[in-house]
Amino acid sequence: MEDKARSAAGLLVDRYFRELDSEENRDRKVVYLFTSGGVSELFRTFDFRIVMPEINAIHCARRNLSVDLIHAGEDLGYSEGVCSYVKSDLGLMLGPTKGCAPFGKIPPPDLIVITHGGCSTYIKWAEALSREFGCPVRMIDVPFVREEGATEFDRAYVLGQIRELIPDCEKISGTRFDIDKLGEILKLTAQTVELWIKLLDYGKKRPSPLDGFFEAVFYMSPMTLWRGTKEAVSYYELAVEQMENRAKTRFSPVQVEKFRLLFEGSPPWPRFGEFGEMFWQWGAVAAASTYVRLGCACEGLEMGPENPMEFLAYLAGLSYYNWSYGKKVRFLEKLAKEYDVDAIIANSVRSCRPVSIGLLDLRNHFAREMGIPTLFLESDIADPSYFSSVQILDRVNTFLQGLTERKKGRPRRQKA
Amino acid sequence: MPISKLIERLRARLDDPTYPEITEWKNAHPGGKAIGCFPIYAPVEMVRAAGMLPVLIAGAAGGIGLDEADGCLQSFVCSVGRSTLELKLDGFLEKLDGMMFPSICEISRGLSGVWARHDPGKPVIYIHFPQNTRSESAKSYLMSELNRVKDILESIAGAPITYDALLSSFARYNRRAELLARLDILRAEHPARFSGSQSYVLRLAGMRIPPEEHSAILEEALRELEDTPEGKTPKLRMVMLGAFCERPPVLMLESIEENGIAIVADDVLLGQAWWKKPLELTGDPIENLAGHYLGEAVPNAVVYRHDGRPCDSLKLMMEKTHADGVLIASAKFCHPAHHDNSCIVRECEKHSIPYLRIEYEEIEQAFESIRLQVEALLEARERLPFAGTGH
Repeated sequence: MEDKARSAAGLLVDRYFRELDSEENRDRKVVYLFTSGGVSELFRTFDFRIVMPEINAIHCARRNLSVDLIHAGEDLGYSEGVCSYVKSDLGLMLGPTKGCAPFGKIPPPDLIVITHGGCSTYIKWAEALSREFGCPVRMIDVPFVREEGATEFDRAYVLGQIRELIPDCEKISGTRFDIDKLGEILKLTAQTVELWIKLLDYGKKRPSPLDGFFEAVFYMSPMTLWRGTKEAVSYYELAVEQMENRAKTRFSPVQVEKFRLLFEGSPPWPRFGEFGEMFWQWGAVAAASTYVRLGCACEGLEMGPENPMEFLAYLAGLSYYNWSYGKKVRFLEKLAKEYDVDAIIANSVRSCRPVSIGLLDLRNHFAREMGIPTLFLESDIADPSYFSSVQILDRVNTFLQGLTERKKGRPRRQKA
Repeated sequence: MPISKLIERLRARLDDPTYPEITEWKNAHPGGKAIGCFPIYAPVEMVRAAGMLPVLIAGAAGGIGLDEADGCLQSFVCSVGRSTLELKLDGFLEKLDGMMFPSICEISRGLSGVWARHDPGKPVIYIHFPQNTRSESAKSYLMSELNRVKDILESIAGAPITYDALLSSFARYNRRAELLARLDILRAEHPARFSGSQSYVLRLAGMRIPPEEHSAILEEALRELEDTPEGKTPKLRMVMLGAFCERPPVLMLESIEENGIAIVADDVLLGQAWWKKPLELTGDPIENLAGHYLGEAVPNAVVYRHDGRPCDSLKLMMEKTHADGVLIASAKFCHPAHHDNSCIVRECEKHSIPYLRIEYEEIEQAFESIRLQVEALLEARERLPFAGTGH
């Protein structure tokens, strides 16, 4: 069955990069933004071109460009221990390539906004870019989200910072702030998020018509790059329709679903396809993953866009990156139950500490205390030298073989 | 009596993983409580104001194995994170009545969560300090966060923390900071009399005792320094930057200084010298503390600098101490330090400042490679006007 949603997502990605540096857009100012705690809608209001350094790094990694770029980043003085996304992006922007990638030319920033929502590396990344490009840097600092959720003080702080950004945005973009326009954009965001959650919910079906990790990461692109636009809404309507059709025909992306998995952790982008095959060949589908919920609502929206500024502050606080460890554990327990998974795969990536710290302990909790088999793997988001195919394949095979034996000892679940 | 005797006495008590200081404190103060504080700065003033003992828990200085922690934290986690967790999992920290983690990096964040999972019965306080220190909303936010911390500390202590108690606690920490500053000046002016490693030991001595007891030790040190003769003039005066969280082994600093380098300033145990000026002793102490954090924290690698110059601490320290060069000493896997290092190296090269880059872990005991690097730097310095040995 043709994956039209993936093709459509690819076209939107291509269009995004093309429009970043197209002739007709050159007069629009450029803002650099980060995905966690992101409030891209605010900048759409001012008609900024939006660049996300992490997305640059992802696309370099997916196209196997990251090795040379990481070396270029290291030549700039960033040591081995520094995040490979950072080195890759700095290598792309500040190294010999000067922002020219095969997928597009990345324009330099007129403004950098650090959305500090779980990753302090963003701050260093932004500092490095601003030193080179000499542009102003601003910040939206999003408080850590404890188990009980964001407090009124947390939201007031974020809201205050968003308000403080407006004069700078007006000055740099030359456009007056239009709260009604923001409201309209946010209505589209709300629709997009609801559709996205609806799409991910298909993973609850048996068989799951959706691989909630190895397919969903591609369906996620419009959520990240086009959130707040009609294009994103149209895209997710198409994607949901596709999933509905798949569900009606009992289509499974792994053909015959034998295992249902929950993935925690980031993708090893340079070897992502290979990684996916390791599971698919066993009929193991990712019923759910947390990565695809990183930058947006994990559980649906608790408020609407009637008050645009408050809604924007609320959206900034939704990033899974920024959750406490305890909150993440509770959420994983919930997902494991709701999606009726057989096992959890925890992929620890060396570069990304917000996501990876605690995964070993989490493995212990789920495997030993919750009785859910959990496999711990290690790789990296952009540096392929940390992906040992032989070792990972061996561990995956051993794990799934063990799961096979375990399943033989249990009665087959009967669930629609 | 020369300072060396005091240093020897203090050094003998350092880093006992059983934390006898907490037992001594609790014996001397029946019903007394102790709160662990992970580096770099946690509001220790509030803990002391509650009548409790703040204890800096910054790893085990290589004194214990990491078997349990390695089962919970990956190998790319810094040693201070892993050994701090190991102390917990091995049962050495049962005497603590709570633990505070400040928002310095993802390790501190993640560690707070893992810690809480392994110690559900005791409060674990993760404090989100604002990074957007210039925002007009930051102060009221931080005040709310400090009040939240105050509520938790009060519930542990079993008594309210009064404003008077807070102001009194500020005074004690101000006194300690004043004494540390005097020692820093003395070190910079007389490195042949008072070395960087000795200064370090004096600061380490304050990790597990109340500030007033630490002040008494520092006062003793100042008196004894009057009797301490000048030693050999150092060949090179250097500031050491980057070791602000994970503690470098004392032996590492000694190895560097044995070869004729004087460490005239550094940022080790930065939490003890966190403020640029004393805390206000009148008015609303929570507001004072919040305002101070936002405006008067020394330049460092973990709080965002809106002026975009991560090397401010370098320039300031070199001017004040008449240093000749920079030791860029960062703990392995310390992301904040590694990021800033590239900027420090660029500044050094731009201004032809000699520098040496070293990476360490708390567990190291052999520093031959560092000795060789130091010798090479000294030789190069003699031969050439500038010779950076960054690697």
